[in-house]
Amino acid sequence: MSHPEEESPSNGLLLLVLAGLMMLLVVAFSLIWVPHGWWSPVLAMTVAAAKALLIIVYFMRARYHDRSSWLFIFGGLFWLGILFTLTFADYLTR
Amino acid sequence: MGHLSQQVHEAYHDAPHEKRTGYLGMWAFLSSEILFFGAFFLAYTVIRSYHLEGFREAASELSLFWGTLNTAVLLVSSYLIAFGEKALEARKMKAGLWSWGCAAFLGVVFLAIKLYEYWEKAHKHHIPGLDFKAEDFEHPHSAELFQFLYFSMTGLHAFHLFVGICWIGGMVWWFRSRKGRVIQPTYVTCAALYWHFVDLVWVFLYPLLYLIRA
Repeated sequence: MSHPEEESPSNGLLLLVLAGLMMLLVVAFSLIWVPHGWWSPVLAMTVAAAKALLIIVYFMRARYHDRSSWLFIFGGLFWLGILFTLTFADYLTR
Repeated sequence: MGHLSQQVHEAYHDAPHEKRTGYLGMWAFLSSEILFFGAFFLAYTVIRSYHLEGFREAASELSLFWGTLNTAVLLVSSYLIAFGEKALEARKMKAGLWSWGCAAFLGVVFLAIKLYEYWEKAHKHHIPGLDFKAEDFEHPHSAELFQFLYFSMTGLHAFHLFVGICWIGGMVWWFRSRKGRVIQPTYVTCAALYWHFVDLVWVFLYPLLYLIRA
């Protein structure tokens, strides 16, 4: 078994990730001036997902752990997906 | 000043084994937290689909300035936690503790801004179920539902942040006050993961409550 836990993002990379997060925050904020449609919540949530991915991969170091860790990381999201799917299977077909 | 233990706890083969176990265990706990918050996100999505106009109206009452500032505050605090974790692991205790102390302080700043927002809501009589001025809204029932979700979700998040501040602040205090005492590196990993998770939740609350308003 490999133990890549010894590795962690460099200080420069951490700063770069922070800059990326701030840029995405500006993008999310500027969306309120874009003409709205059904896609504006989708866009806002996509930007949020991009921010979340940066935090999970670099700040929470998912990239520096072996792949079996992703089972634990996405375990909760998988069950959440089931919760949403079954709930909307009911509400959207009424 | 205390420091991180260089010895492996007897339950583990080696240091990476110990750290990996802590990492996975903390993620297992955070998965349960994802489902805990997920129920609120689900409620928001379902109720919003039935009360679109009222939600838009109520969301536009929230301050974009404070919401955005608070997001920036949490993102910077998350960076400081990541930087501090790295410094503590490298036994650079002073830099690590300063970084974590500043992150905990930013957490307090976040809560102060959130309390101010709550005070503003109370001042406008927009507290659902207790003191709600229905005439301020075209769709009062829907707007009250939005406010209920707003207070539930941000309140639950604020409680988690409060726990995070106590956890991080407590560890800083412990390191500074216990001369020569050691702590397992796993504790640092778990505390950092918890803080980042609280930040993650806010990353999704911000667009749902503040940005989707038209």
